Amino acid sequence: MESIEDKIKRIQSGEVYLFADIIDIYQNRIYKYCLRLLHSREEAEDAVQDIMLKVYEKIRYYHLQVSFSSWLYKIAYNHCLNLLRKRKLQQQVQRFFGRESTVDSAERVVEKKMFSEPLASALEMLSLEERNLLILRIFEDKSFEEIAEILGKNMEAIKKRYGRIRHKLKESMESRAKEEGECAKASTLLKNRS
Amino acid sequence: MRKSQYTAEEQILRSYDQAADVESIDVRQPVMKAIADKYGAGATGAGPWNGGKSTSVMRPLHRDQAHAVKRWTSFHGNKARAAAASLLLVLSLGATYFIYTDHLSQSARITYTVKEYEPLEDPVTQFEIKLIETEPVPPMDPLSEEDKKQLEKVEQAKEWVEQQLLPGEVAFYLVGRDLSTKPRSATAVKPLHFDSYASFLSKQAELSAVELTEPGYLPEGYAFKAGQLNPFRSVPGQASTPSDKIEGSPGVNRIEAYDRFIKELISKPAQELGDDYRLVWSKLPAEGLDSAALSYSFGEQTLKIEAFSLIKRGVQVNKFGTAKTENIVVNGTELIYMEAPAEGSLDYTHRLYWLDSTAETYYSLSDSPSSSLSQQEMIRIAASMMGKDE
Repeated sequence: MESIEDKIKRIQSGEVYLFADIIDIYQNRIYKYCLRLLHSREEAEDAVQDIMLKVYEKIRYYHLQVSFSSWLYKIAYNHCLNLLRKRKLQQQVQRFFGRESTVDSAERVVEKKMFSEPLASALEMLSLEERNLLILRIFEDKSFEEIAEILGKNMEAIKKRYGRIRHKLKESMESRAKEEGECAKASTLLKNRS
Repeated sequence: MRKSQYTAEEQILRSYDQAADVESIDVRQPVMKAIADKYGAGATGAGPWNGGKSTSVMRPLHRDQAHAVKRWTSFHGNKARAAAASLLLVLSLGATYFIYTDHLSQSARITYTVKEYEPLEDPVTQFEIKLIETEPVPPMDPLSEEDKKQLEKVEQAKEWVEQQLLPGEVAFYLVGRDLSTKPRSATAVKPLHFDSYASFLSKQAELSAVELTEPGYLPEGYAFKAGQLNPFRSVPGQASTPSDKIEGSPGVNRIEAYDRFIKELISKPAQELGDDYRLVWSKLPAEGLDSAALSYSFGEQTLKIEAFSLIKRGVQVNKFGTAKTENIVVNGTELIYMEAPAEGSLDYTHRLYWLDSTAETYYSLSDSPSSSLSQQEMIRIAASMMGKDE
């Protein structure tokens, strides 16, 4: 079977129609990745289309030194980063004009559907970069080598950072479980008293 | 990575993920249609890069893609509407257009109209480019020895922090004798530099940076000098906690996030700078790139083209010391033009600003003080970047 890299070479040589196959292979992987970062199905689907168009326009700059998949994830991450930054600015502008955004609450609902509790709350404690590393490793099945390629960082540094993030996540999840346990205990006590 | 390669803890985390079960999408048709619309679907070159080889973009689409054309096309429709709105805005100004028209100029290949200066506003985002006039601050009284020392240490810290950064990274630092009381704070940035246009474009694509391509027209003798991509300078403490500012007062949360960041920073081990001065610093989370620049040179003369994302509410440009400011309309796009006097301290001879709603970007084009380029040539360069040079 023809490798992706060979297919890319053919596209770079002018067999543009083959790009439909590239979309076919990667669209749902990238969609789920965007969904995990953006927490909105509509935005994720639009993002995939923008990313694919961008990839097509820039495919001549892809070099085989990096795997195509890593290159694609890199473009996708940076695209989502831009979207999140714009979203944050829009929210700030809305707040500035005293218009409360309903986007946040909608996102939180979707987020809870993407990641169930207690992970959803624990993820909120992480920065976007940290979330991205965790998502790539645990949910996108990426090796540390691939993550290092995507993030353009040293593999050992990625491993260390991942260890710290997992520790942070574990602590956050445990503390939440403890809080919930205490709440449940208090609620039982109150019920018994009445 | 196979499931068996996950640790037990990772397996548990995986069980919380529900994105894996979401309905699949199929975007082949809208994407291939967009490519065909943009680059041609038939026997002519279908790519921006394939040198006009005979190809067909749509040929291999077999699957039923009836559901595939969705909001994205309407999103791109919105972009088209944004462009139309800009055009309408320009046309609606037509009533006053000729009143303010000073002259109609025509050089060899460019026709444009001049009108009185007014701010440029993006009809979609309300982003505004506005000229203001601010006199330079008069020189302060001679600095005290202590102030001079502090400035020297801030400069020393900046150099040191920049050396620790990789291209594309941003850091925040504090310098002072006592870091808990009024330390000097500053941001250090390391842009990405490129010696060739091809490497600039390659990285621009990879990092989804703001769109900037070289002009279709360059005056004779000018050649590529350098490219640069600049990271976004986030506010310390803001980006690190993306989700903790949903509830409560956003203003208080921002201040709290900043205070928390500063407290954490001060508690870090400090770097000694000599003379009892100390430095603490921290890299800021990457938040993408928000501007790009290309420069061209011809001997001592330079041309600089910059592109900035419309991520703020507007930009104010100081017109102090200019000889002329006016608006130019070229092929339906309005630009602000600034001209420096023959004798002056401005770092350009001509400068142009314009907005592109569809790219969500604003551009600046300027030459050097020693430039021999004419206003017409500068406008022609700008027009060629809009794809409107004839």
